[in-house]
Amino acid sequence: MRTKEKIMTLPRPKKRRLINKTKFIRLAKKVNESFKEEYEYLWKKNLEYGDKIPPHSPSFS
Amino acid sequence: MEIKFLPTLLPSLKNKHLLLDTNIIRDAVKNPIVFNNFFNDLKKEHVTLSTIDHVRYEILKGSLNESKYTEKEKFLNEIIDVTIPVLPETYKLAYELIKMYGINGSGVHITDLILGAILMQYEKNIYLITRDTSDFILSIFKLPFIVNATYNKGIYSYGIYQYIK
Repeated sequence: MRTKEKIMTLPRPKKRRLINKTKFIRLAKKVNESFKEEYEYLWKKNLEYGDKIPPHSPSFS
Repeated sequence: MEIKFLPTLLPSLKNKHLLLDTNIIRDAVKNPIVFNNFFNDLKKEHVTLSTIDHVRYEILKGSLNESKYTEKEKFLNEIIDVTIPVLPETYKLAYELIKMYGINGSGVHITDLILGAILMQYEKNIYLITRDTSDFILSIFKLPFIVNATYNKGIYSYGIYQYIK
């Protein structure tokens, strides 16, 4: 059985590092494209099957 | 877009864990420059940016192929310092939380319940940042800070929540 102390211990990062801006922006662009595709897929699927409106309706920049 | 917060925010969060909900990660995808600066401001103060697997699932699900899945994973890994494990004790606390919510819990998502249970588990050592400000009711959680992100169509408001008995 876990002790109370063990339960209350939050994990700490092994190594602290800042976000690399260039890499972050490049990845964000790609992920944004993925989210757009997923949103369009859900939109089409919901239109086709008359289901509810997709849960996320982001305004993509 | 610009992120505005009180100057007392960073000193208050110093050396604490900050749980990130799905919506702020999605917003960071759309506005990487401003969120890169915001997250790095937090990291410089030794704030440990954290999440739970349930949030990761919400971001990763729906990926068209493995390459797109990996891109999302890398994006998450850039932001997140630690993923806090959801323990059997956390699930027990989620039941307690459901009782505390009462009728207000009818529309609360499972991910939000688990995030709330994590706040209950670690109390003063952890905060949550979320744009879902209606599911973390103030009769249960404290709202010590609000972070505003202005954009061309309006303002996104993020609550910074904590659970203290």
